[in-house]
Amino acid sequence: MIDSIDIDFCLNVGQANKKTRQKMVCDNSTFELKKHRILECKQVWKSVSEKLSISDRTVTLVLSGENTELDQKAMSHLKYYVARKKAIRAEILVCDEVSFEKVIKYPFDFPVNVTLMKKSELQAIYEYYCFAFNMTNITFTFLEYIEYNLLGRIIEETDLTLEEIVDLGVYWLREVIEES
Amino acid sequence: MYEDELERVKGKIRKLHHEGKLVNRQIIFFGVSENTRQMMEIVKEYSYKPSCIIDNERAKDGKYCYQTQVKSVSKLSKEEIEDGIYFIYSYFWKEMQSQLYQMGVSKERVHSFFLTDRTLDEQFERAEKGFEICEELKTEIGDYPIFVCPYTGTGDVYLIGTFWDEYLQRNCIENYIFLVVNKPCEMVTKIFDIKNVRKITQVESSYLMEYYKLCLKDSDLIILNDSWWELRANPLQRFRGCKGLYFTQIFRKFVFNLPEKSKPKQPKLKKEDERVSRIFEEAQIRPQNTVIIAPFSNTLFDLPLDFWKDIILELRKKGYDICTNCGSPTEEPIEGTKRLFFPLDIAPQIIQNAGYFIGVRSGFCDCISASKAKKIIIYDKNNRFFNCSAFEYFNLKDMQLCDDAIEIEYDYDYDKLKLDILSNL
Repeated sequence: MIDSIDIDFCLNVGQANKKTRQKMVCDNSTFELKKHRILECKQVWKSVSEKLSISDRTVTLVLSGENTELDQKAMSHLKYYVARKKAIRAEILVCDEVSFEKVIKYPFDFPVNVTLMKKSELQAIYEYYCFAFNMTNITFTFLEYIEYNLLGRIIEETDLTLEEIVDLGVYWLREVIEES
Repeated sequence: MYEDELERVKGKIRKLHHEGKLVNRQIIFFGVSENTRQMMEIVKEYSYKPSCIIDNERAKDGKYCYQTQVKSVSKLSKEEIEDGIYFIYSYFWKEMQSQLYQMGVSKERVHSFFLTDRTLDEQFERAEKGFEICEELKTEIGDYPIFVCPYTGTGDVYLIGTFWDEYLQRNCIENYIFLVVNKPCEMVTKIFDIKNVRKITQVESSYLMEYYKLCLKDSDLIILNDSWWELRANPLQRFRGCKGLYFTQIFRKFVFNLPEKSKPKQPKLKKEDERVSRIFEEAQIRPQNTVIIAPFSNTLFDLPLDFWKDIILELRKKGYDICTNCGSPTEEPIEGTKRLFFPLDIAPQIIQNAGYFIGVRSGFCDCISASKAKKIIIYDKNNRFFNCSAFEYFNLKDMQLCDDAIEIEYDYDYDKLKLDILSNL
């Protein structure tokens, strides 16, 4: 498990722009809370990426565990994502024992490391990804988190196959890869 | 890219120019896109000629985009690999860079301008500006939900307009604030009598996006787009054109959450006889005997000018008055035609009064889809839009906007296209 985040660090960063901070606290405390939340999320990602030595040549797949078939397909097509991103290895982050075991047993033909984390930590990484600009080699299988994520609805309400969902929606590949 | 982003990229290219790094070099752009078009404009300002555009999509190989040849990355020559300067502005910049490096292009010749270095504090500041824009709007208009149309195209706003009343009724929304990012989009809202419309800049829109990303539903913002590139958690746009997920279908289901039986509702055209007559009188053109052509669109591939000249010649022989629909008072009409510039809110009435329309598919075609006129709409057969052709995604019939338009796909056989058009008049 990743160590708990350093809230003091977050608050210090949040104070960086004092003028902004005071104004927003007066006008809308929600705004301030959201900022703090993003800083917390950033710290989670920082800890994870440092601990796992995630570099430009690494892709990260976060399996939410919310749809096991989707997660399974994401594992089987991970090699295409690695190729597209010109990466040499993959990190898979999971939040339940079952998924952890499945990843361990999967016969990847490239270096893969798996880490078991709390779901809240995976969600934090996702929130940071959705807000910040600097995470490009990471993808997620959350279905409805965060609120404008329509992946779950797309699976439920369209005729798209899991290959299409994974290749286009999760990995943003140029085309769907049908495996024999 | 947004205006402020464009300025940043201009600054970086200007620096390369002043350092003499572009002199006598082949300048190669990676990826056919609007961003590439914008970078090419900047380069041309310094009198450099873009060498070519490279793209990983095979269908684009051999075509021309913005008067520049497009070719596959694998077709780069030895000289281009060893000496070319490469410009990239894409979300996929990292893998594009890697691809070039692996081919032997040296790192100092690859310039990726995609925004990657914005700090969180900068993002928070931008979000705060978005928050302030919302506060000002609410003070001025009222504490209502704020709908944002971030896209510059008029077609999106038109489609939104056709579902707007039903959406409001189903969601019991009586009052709202409606934001668009340019004048043409603002004019389209007038066709539908959408109220409390305010025009904001694209930069302001980007502040609102930042605010939305930070506060989500607490922001009271609703983004009216199937998926906006900054909203990374929404994968919807990647499925455009897959299994029935076309323009209308995606907006109906995923933007408005309406059932399939809901159809886009065309507006009742207002009586604008006086404004329309004045425009016809000033241009000295005859009602029901005028062909309005729209040869330009925001798409990247245009029909050649000679094609239009031939069409114009034939139309003149048939006795029609011919006008070019110019998007602004300064846009030049095609030679041999009269300039016609009119506000978009009366576009349907103008076309209806003219009687005839021939144009390449653009947002303008959505806006005139309710006109009772002979409408010929042209689609480039090779123009792909995500997972389907532009025709499949945007044809007016399947969009359920109208079924009286003559919609023609062409495949670079311009003589056949000419015949198709003229035989349908």
